[in-house]
Amino acid sequence: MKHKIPFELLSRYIDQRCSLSERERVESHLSECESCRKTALLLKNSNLVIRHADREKLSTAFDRAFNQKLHNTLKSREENRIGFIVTRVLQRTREVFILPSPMLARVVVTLLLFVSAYGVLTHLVVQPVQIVTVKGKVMIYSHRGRKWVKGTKGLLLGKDDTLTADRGSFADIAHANKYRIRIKQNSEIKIAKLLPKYVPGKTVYNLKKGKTLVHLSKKFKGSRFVMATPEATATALGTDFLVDVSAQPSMMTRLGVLNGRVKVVSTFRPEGEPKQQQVILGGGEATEVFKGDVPMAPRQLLEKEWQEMTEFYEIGEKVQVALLISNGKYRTRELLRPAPLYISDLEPKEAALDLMKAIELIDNAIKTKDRNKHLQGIRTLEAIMAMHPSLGHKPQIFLFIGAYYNYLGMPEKAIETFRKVSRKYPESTFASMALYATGIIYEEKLNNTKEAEHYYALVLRKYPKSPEAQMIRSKQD
Amino acid sequence: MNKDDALIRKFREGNRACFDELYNTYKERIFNFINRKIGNRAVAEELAQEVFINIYLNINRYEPRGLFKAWIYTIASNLAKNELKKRSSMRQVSLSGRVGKRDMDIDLESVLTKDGFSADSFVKNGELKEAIENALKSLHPLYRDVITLCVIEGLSYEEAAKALKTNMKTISSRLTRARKQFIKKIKVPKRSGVK
Repeated sequence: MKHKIPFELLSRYIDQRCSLSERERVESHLSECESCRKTALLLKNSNLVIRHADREKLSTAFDRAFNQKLHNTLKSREENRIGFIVTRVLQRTREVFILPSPMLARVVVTLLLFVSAYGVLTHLVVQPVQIVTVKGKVMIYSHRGRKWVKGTKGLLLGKDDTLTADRGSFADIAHANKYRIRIKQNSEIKIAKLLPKYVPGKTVYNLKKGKTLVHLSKKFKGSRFVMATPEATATALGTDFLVDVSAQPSMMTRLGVLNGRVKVVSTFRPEGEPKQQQVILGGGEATEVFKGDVPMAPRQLLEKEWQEMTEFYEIGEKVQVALLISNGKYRTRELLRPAPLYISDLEPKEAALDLMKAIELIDNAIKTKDRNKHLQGIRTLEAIMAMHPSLGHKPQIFLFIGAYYNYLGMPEKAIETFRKVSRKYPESTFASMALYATGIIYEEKLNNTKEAEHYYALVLRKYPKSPEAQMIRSKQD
Repeated sequence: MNKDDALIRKFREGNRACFDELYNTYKERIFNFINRKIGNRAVAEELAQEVFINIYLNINRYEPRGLFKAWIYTIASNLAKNELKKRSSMRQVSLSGRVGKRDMDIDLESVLTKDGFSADSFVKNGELKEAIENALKSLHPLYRDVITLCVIEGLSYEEAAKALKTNMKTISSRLTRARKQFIKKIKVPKRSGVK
């Protein structure tokens, strides 16, 4: 018998969410079709058993703990001084506006209110930072309590507090969802200025020794982040950067930038110069500032420094899809192995669910060593890309598909896919990888040195600062 | 005006006992909803307490339009999501591994389609209950949420859509997919005989 009832309609029928005509249609079909009747029964009884699924009981202390928490919350609310002051100010304002006061007085009072409100918002209402991760021995010097306390997860830090991380330890501190800093081992950092809670502003940290990684999220936009060291100050104009004053003897500050731009100004001012010297570092660049000197000219990040930067994936915002490759000059080789694809598991969107299904197919193909299943996996990935035009991380997925074709011994298809990346996403960091990978395939798989040289030249011309250009230059030398 | 809205109105007028009644009605449900989502009893209890503190403090923001359930589950869902974000873990689902392995020996499909099946007989059978629990746990989080809200907690499509910040069509399609996945999980794989 032909099954005229879609599963979706059957599901709604069980939930009594279909129209009268749909209901009649379903019931008439069920009276004739044994198979659909069985499915409907299965759905109905599944509902019944799911409804009877075990509910865990609350612990006996639940109610007491709740009442205590509620009591404390209400108490602290009442004691909230700022709230009290605001209420008083509002009362006074009301009085001024209600009383028949002269126009000039009203204007002056309004202006004063605006100015003081702005002052309160920018200087008094600041949001403390919170320790979100602790490993090993981390100590906090509380400026307010004038004592050292052990750094624990959830502890709030205020202005002028100092944090130290011992050997083999580290701590991550976060300001709401605006920025995160990882303080690495053997480091000491002091909070000199905190960010206002409600308006954009400036935050300043003094890194006395050691190493930090700074990640600024999109919500930080409009504010300024300054990391000051004995030799230099770094002002973030971008998102991810590293500051290191762990060199021995400590006469030097090293800065590296993963994303965005960072302005580096030395504390030293050469004689006769009106102001300190500065350099701007872009993504993938680093510099050093020695004591009593101006910042060195920007240079490329070294392989070791790129590897340090991968730690940003631990402290930054999650990515939904990522290729497991390092950021160094060997990344294209790693891609062609081929590299695994990672998908974030947290609350994935529909597209990510489809992606996971494709990955399961590929997983199965690897286990069964079935070439057709491999190809089916690739085709599913390609179909997902076509089905979800707004899907993010497309260059990564295209690179993955290209590397996969190469792995299956289909170099022409691999090249075709890599071309999509270099053509469609010329501004992305993956474009130089795609061009370089194309060159490698021409050279090593198709024995076409002329075409390979063409692609290597393209990388050197279009992306002279990329890790791939670095690889090509060292190869040519 | 439904019962929940009537209780809220009285609570706003100062009758604390009405809040207690709401709290007693929903505390276990909310705890179980969060617990299913994050899988940690102790944290789920704390978050469930947070939900009711939020309700207590923000009761004036609630518009009594018969959607209290949607409101309370929205708060619970948001708190659970924040907790999951805090954990901020990335899991590999790539070429080297897959999730949700099935180790089910009971043929639930046959049990559920047998003539004369009753929920009472199911409740008494601990093994069956465990198998159902495992199948539920192995569902994808998005699907588990929608099954928890619509089937276990009995929310309407509209309430579930509000709680999960989506629309009714999505709820309907997720529920369909969730049921498909659930049926797939409770089916015993057919074994080919080896001679």
